[in-house]
Amino acid sequence: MFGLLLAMGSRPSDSELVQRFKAGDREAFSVLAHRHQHRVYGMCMRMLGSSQEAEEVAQDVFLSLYRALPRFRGDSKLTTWMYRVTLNHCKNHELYRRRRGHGRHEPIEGTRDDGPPRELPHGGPGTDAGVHRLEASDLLQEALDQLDDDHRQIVLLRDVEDLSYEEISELLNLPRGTVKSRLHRARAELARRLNRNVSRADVL
Amino acid sequence: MHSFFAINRLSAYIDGELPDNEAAEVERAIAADPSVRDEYQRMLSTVELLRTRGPLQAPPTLHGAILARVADEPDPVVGFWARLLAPFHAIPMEAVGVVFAVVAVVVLINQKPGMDAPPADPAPAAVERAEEAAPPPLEQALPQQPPKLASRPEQPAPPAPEAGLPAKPMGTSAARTSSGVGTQGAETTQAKGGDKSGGKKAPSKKDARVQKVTPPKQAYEPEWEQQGDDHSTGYGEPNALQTRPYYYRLDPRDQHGLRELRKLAARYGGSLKYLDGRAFQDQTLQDGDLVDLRADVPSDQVEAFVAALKQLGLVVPIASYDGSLHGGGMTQVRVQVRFNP
Repeated sequence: MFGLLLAMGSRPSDSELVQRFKAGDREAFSVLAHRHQHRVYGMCMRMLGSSQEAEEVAQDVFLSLYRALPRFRGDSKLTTWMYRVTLNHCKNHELYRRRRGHGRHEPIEGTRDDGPPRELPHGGPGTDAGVHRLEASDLLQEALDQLDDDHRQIVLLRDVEDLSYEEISELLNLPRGTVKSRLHRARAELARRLNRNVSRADVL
Repeated sequence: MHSFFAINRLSAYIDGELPDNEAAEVERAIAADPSVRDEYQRMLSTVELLRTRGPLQAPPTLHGAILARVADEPDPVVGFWARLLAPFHAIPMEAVGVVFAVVAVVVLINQKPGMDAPPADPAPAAVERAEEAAPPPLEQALPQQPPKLASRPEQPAPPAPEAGLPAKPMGTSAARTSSGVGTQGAETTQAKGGDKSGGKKAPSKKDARVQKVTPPKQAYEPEWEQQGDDHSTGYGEPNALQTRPYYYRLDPRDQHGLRELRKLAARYGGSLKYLDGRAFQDQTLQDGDLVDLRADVPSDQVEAFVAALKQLGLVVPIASYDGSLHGGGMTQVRVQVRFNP
C-alpha cells in the first residue's frame, strides 16, 4: 500500500505513518526508517566519529524506535523524539567505549592542539575535487571530535540538522538562553579548532 | 558596543536572533574592529562548513540492516484501546479539550443543588394553578398546595416566622409578591413540581437565577448576604418544608459560615454548641461536610432565631425545638449545615 502511495506521489506524514504502525502496519515503519536513516546515521557518525560504530548505533536506534513507537504519544515531533533517542544511544555508546578503555578515534596526524597547523592541498590542476571534499569533511569531523559532547551535539543540532533554538531547547531540556550561549561557545571553539588545523580558504 | 560584547553576540547575529538595535551595533563593531571582523569571519565560515559538509548519507546497506533487525522483533504491542482509538488521532487535542470543557461547564451548571434539579414528583397542574393564583397572600396560597405536602404528619408545617415576627419580619407577602417570587404555598408547589412540568410556564434557569439574586427584603442581613451571593452554590440543605425563596445561597468561597452562625446565635442571646453540649469551635467547612449543631437560645427568641436561620437556608427540624426541649428559659434548636460549593 505504501509503495503504491509513494509511487503515486503521495507522501504520508510522520504522524500518519506512526498511527498506521500503531494499527499494526509494519510497512509504515519501513517507510519511516527509509525517510530518517540519513538523519540518524549522520548524527551518530558526527557524534561518534566512526562510520562502523555509527551504523551499529543507528540500527540500535531504529530498533529502540520500533519497540517504543507504540507508546509514542505524539506530544512532540517525531524527529525531535528521534534525535533524543539517538543522542541517548550515542551517549551510552560513548560510556561503553570508555568503560572498555577505548577513547574517541585518534585524530588525524597534525591536527592535535600541540601539533603544527595542517595545510590542505590547494585545488589546483590535477587535484581531485572529491578528495578535497572528503578531506574537508574529515577535518570537520576532527574538529568536532575535539569538542566536548554538549558542545558537539548542540552545534550539530543547530547547523547540521537545522533545528530552531526552540526545538533544541525542548530536545535538550535547556532554557533558550542557555541554548544560545552554549551554541555561541561551541561555534567559537569549533572555529578555533578548525582554524588551528587548516586555513579557511583551503577548506572552503 | 564594546568588542567583547560584540564577539559574544556573533553567534546570535549569524542566526538572526538579535533585536534590530543590537544587530546594528554588532554590524558597526564588525566594520570598525578588525578583531571582531576576524572572529565573525571565522564563525561564519564554520557555520557554512557545518551546513554544507555536515550532513552525511547513510550507507546503502543501513535500511536493509534495520529491517533485518526489526524482522526478528515481535509485532509492536498495541493495546486494544490504541487500536480502537487510532482513527481519532487525527482530531486535534485542542478540539477535544474545548468540547470537554463545554460539556463540563454545562454539567456543572445543571448540577447546582436546589436550583434547577428536577423534583421527584412533578405536578404541572399544581404549578399552573399556583402561578395563576399569584400574587395571593400566604393564607390564600396555602390551600393550593398539593395534598401530599399538606398532609405530611411527620413534618408539621413550620410556623410562619415572617407572620409572627413583628419586630424582625422576614418579609411581607407583598414584598415577595413584588419580587415575582410568589407566596410560600405557591413557591412550595413550584419547587416540587415546576421544573419538570415541561409546560410553558415552568420556571427557566434564567428565572431561577433572577429569584436567587433578588431575595425578599429581610430584617436580618448577615455579612455574607451583604457581600453578595450571585456566584454561589448551595449552603445549607433545604428540607421538604422549606421553600425556594428561603433557600438563601451563600458565597461558595465562604467556608466560614459556621462562624457567622455562631454570631447569629449570639445575636439572639444564645450560644452554639455541638449536640453533646461541647462549646462550638470555629471550623472551616469542606465540600460535602455535614455539621450537626444545636443552638441554645432564649425561648422567647426562638422564633426570631429560626426565622433568621431559614433565611440562611439552614435546616431546622421543627420537632427539635418544641416544648419538650425547653429548660431554664432556653430552647435547643438543632441546626444542620451542609456545605455544597
